[in-house]
Amino acid sequence: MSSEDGKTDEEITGTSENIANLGLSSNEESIPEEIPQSAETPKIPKAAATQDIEHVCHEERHEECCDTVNLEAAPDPKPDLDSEASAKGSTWSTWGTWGKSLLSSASASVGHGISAVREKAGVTLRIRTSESEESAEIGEAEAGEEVSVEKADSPTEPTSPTAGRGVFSALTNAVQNTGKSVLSGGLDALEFIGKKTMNVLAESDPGFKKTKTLMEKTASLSQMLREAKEKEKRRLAEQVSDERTAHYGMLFDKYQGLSHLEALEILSNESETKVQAHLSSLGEEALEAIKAELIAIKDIFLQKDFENEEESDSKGEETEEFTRMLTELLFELHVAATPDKLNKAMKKAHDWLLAESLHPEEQPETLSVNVQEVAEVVEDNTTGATEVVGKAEVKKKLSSEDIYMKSIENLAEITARCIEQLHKVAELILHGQDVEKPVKDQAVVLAKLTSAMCKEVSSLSKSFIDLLTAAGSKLKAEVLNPTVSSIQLEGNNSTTYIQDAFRLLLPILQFSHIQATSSKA
Amino acid sequence: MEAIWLYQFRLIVIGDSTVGKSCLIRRFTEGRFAQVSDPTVGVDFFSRLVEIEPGKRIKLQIWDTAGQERFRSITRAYYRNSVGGLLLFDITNRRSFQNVHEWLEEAKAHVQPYQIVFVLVGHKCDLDTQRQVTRHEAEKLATAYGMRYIETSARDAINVEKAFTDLTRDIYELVRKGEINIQEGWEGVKSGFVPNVVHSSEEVIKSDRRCLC
Repeated sequence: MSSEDGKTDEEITGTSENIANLGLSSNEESIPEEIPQSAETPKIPKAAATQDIEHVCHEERHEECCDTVNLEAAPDPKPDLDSEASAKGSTWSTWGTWGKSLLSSASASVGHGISAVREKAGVTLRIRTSESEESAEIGEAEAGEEVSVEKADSPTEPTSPTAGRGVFSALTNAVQNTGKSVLSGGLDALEFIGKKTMNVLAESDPGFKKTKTLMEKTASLSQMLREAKEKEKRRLAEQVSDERTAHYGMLFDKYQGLSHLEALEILSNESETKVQAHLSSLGEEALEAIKAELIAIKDIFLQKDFENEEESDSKGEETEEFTRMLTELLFELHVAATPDKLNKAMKKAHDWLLAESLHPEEQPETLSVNVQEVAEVVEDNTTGATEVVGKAEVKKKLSSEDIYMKSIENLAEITARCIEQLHKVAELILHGQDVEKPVKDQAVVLAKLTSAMCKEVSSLSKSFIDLLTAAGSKLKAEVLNPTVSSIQLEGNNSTTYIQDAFRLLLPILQFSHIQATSSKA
Repeated sequence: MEAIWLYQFRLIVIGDSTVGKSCLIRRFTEGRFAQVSDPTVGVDFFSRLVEIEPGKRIKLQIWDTAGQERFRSITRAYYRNSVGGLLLFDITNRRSFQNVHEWLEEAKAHVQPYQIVFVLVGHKCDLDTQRQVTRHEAEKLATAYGMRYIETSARDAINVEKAFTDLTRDIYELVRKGEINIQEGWEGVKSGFVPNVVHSSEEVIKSDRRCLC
């Protein structure tokens, strides 16, 4: 059973890495496409404002209303980040980024995807089944079917070739097991239509600029997350009250993660508008000069290595390590953003882990239901960190179901706090205090901060899984595995949200840079 | 789990720095009063359910903005998606009352093209001895703007519930009459979910799920 787990985990991580690679490489890929356009209209090219890294949601938001200034770097002298990944066709890789966006939104509703599928399909089903199913669903809804299908079917998954096959076989598996005839019957057709659509679009709309703008209108990141949450809520309304599942999306919202993300998105959009407005008011020379600087900032965002390095076992001292790092990095930023809330949430999670791991032998086999306890913890959001820890210590016998619930909640809370932190930093950067630190340096620090957050979240979710596995060692695999997979998946989602929030900071930093330079002049 | 609500309204709370916006919201959402609190950075978020009629719950999502001038350019960006607002001044601070007009103008300019329902709130009414703004003149101003006026105290928990629920009821009436509509791409009003009304194919499939235990 444990080997089975390990495999699943590996595969999941593998996929998310692939996705990240695709996203990054897509940006490099798309450069050659745009050069000719830039050359034709050197001053204000109509090429895509691909300022954003892989966040298609934000790309080209001004495309339809005004000319935008291309902030795409000139042909990149550096080698591709992932040579294998860049071997992919350029147009497809742009869609790869979309796939990622969709996927991340899809996985927001994963708590529900999993419970939807796991009971039906049984344990043979890999967790990514629900993921692909979800993305297929959302794809349909967004009229972007080709994306998810293409993704699942992608033959050139670079770093782990099994991953692509894994998705597909898992999908087929799901189809067999669930008998979702819609999906199975529709899949080929969907793919066919998808490809057709892509071809037609490619002819009339090189680089899919208009299409992406269109899609962007219907779905921003926070919008998609919200929809996912609402779907979850709708389902809850149907659910009988004694069924217990952890609802990551709703918990994430409860800790105001969605609101912070939305507010950050608003600021990001506004900043980008301002950046574009400023750039189009400049003369050619000044434009070239500032463009170079803005691209340099963007490059820092691109260089960012989001992949989590080998995770060490998470122990108590790691919290302090993270806290210290967080404080230091925020101090380095020269913005008065204190990480109190985030630290509290982290401490709460670690204390709980520590308290639990002291009594592993007392874990009962049965799934005792303690709705009250969890409800209380949910209510108790910002304040009673210590109270919660106290409760956890008093109550030694946590069932594996309880551990699962608390793990998901901790992940949701910490992710929300990370995003809040990035939002606060954005507000403080924007509010135009004297910039003591060059924006480029701030970008580097923020990249480090984001990386530290992601690492911490991954290591936490790993610890949660270890705890759960230890507690549920006597449970049947088909009971334990879905919860383990669910934590793994929500952990991956958490890092995706944090990274998305980080990317929203780019226009904000660019605008801040413009402000700083113009106040100097 | 979270109770089911009919609508979600987004409210924004604005007014000069230190008039007590965050304290009022905390009293309303958390039921406590903090003697000392840090100035708000940018915007903060709170939410609470309000029952306007038996069984009819509205979820309020409250955006608590920074009053400090230096954050003004940021908070402006947050107005647009609100359906209602509490416009606060401190009854012991004449200046904060004089600035009400400016706040209102700013809000009106930035909520376009959507409409927003405001209530004027004279805060810190427990400090009646230090009062610099009479109830009469505040009421007059509110009438001129066509909004309610209410005096509240977060410290003594006076009228805090009323300030929020009255505003919620006003908005609900407008929504019910169709004067405010749920709109795509606008977060001011969202519809909630009522149990056992929505049936998608997915839910049907789920109904035969196996019990975990």
